[in-house]
Amino acid sequence: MDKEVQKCVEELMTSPGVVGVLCADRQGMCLTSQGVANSNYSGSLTSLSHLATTLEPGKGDPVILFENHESQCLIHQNMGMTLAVYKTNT
Amino acid sequence: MEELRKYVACILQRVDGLLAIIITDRDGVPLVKVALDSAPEMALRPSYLSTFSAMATDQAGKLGVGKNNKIISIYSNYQVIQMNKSPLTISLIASKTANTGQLVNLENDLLVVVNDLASSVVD
Amino acid sequence: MDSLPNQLGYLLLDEDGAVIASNGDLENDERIGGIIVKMLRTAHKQELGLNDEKDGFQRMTINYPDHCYIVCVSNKRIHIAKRLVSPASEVIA
Repeated sequence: MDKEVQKCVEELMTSPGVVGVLCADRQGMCLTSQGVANSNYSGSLTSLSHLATTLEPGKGDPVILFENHESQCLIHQNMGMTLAVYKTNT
Repeated sequence: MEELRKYVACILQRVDGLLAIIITDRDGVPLVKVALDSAPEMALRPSYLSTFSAMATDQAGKLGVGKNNKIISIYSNYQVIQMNKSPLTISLIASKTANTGQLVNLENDLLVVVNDLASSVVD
Repeated sequence: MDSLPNQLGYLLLDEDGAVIASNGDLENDERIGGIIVKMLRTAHKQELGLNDEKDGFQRMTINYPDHCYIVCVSNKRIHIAKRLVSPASEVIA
């Protein structure tokens, strides 16, 4: 199972602009992290995505986007799993 | 000391579901203890807290994979994370649903407190 | 602020999360305000690994299929706008 996830993450890392990917479970434990993504932040990222789902309960899981001049961080939750993708602005 | 306590109390509020932070010495005697009213009283007793530093972490260190840093115990309603910061121990007591990743990451913030305390314990 | 196109609501909070001004969908919506303040605190503690180390991020956007919340912090005030998503600015994750 983990091989498939790993493959998926590596594939994502080769997409243009992507510099980091992190997956975390419901408890905020890091499943995998690549590139600039630091596994220490898996807890915060999970907690952010949980908070975001409470904004509009029943409206599905939103995508959170943090951005500054040079980079972006996208966070999405799906079936309890949290995926964070770091990108540089191109 | 009062300032340290305030800082730890501040950290306690940062994670939802975190009920208590206790920094103890090897014998489970609390040096800093901040707890919400809803924290389970059982888990705050020195007899419970000392099991980690006196037995668990030492035994776990003999598994042949190096020194034991922390132990996460998940119970049916609570989770307890204990970190080995010899000569001190950090214990985090939280509800089962609390974000374990966030709790583990509090280690960095609590390290400052522990280093402060450790130097005064040794003196 | 309320005359901007595609805008559904607006909320202005102070740094403690107290409502200073609001209109539209977000009129006096302390619940949404509270959650967003919590999110900002969580995000602020960690710089999340974003490159700009000074203050981490400039803007937080929470995207739903047909609308989004845009959050900015400026001058110790939290600005939250709820907007309809125009297809051009849609974010694909």
